[in-house]
Amino acid sequence: MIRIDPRTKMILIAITLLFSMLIPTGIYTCLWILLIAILGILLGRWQKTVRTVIVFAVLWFISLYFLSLFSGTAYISLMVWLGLVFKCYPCCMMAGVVIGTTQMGEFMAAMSKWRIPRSVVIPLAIIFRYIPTLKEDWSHIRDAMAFRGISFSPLCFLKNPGTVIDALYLPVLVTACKSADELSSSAITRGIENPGKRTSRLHIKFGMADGVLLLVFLLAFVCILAINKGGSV
Amino acid sequence: MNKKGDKLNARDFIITGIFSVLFLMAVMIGGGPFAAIPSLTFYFPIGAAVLAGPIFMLFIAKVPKRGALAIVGVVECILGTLTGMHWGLNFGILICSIIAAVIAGFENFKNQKLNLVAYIVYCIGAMGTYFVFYFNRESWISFMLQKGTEQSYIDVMSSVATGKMMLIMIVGTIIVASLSGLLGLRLMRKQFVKAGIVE
Repeated sequence: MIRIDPRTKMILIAITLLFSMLIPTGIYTCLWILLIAILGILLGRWQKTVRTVIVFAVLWFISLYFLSLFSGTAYISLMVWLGLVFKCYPCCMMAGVVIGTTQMGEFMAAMSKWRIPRSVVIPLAIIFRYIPTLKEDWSHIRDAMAFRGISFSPLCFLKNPGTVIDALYLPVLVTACKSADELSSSAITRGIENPGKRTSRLHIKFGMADGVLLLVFLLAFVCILAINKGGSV
Repeated sequence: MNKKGDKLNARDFIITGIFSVLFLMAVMIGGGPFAAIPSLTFYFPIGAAVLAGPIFMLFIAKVPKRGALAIVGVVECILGTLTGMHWGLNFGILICSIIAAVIAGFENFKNQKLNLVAYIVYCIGAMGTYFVFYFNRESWISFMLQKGTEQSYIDVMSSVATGKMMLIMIVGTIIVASLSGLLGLRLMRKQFVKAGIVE
């Protein structure tokens, strides 16, 4: 298990983004997934990484062997859907690995080293921090309302829209407001408003592992790009 | 913008972050299913406008400053770029949220009619990519193909893309956005002000 600089992770996300923008879906997508999987395992997140790889492999085999069983509209919609999934999979997987292995403090320290204004960094950090909380709150609200027989299904909504809005939509907004207040008081207590230069207990700097990883990803990307362009011309 | 009360503090940044999540969720739940199916993709802005109205109204009541909406635009633009969306969508949202911030800011975010107009403008941002599609179809198609969108997706999309569809999309979005915005204003009056969440 290794630790790498959050800035390296950002650059790796950017390379993955370029990869999915420039290179059509094919055998190289599998290769890239493999690279990301190795990265995820190296960063000590092997359980979830293995799970995502297995999901990808299953989808890939379906697209290879079972898709030809369908025909007509079903075939086209399925193919388009799978195409979109394969397009987004590397990026999403990379983002999952990065978000799962980066602490908020590390992220903020790295971003302040890059001199990104706080007006952008704080909302971004809050987004990553808040999504799991929102999921948790939402499942609590849903469970509570299931007791009263209210659910977010279309049928229930059409029967009595007012109740559904009041009982499911409002609590989400109200808890969001509450957690915004709580988060901001805790952040202000810890001195987020300090106008001076941000200092950090963590040592954020590029090391050996960062260099090797960047080199591997860049080399792989350039090679794939070269082979791909050479093949198509 | 240079007024003293207009400057954003840390609390505003945090509220902005949380509401950006809510905006994103609203777009994904409301519009996501449409975006994935090529023949329905033009209903995406309509779907995206359904849920966000109350969120928008609550947000501008919590942080009545122009910069806040612009930051939502910037953050959504960054996230959209990172997840590989078309630049028309990202910059459409960015530009429209800035315009919305200016419109609602005329009356310091207190005038309900202006807030409603601002929300409609904000929703039009989601149509950015389709505007690019209509006005410059060839470059749009080559851009999407280069990015690796399937040819068949674009074929199906082109076959349903007529002038009538464009009209339905714009009018539908405006209607849905005003309904959602009105619902938001009603919820504000009925619930949030009474509960003391906003003044």
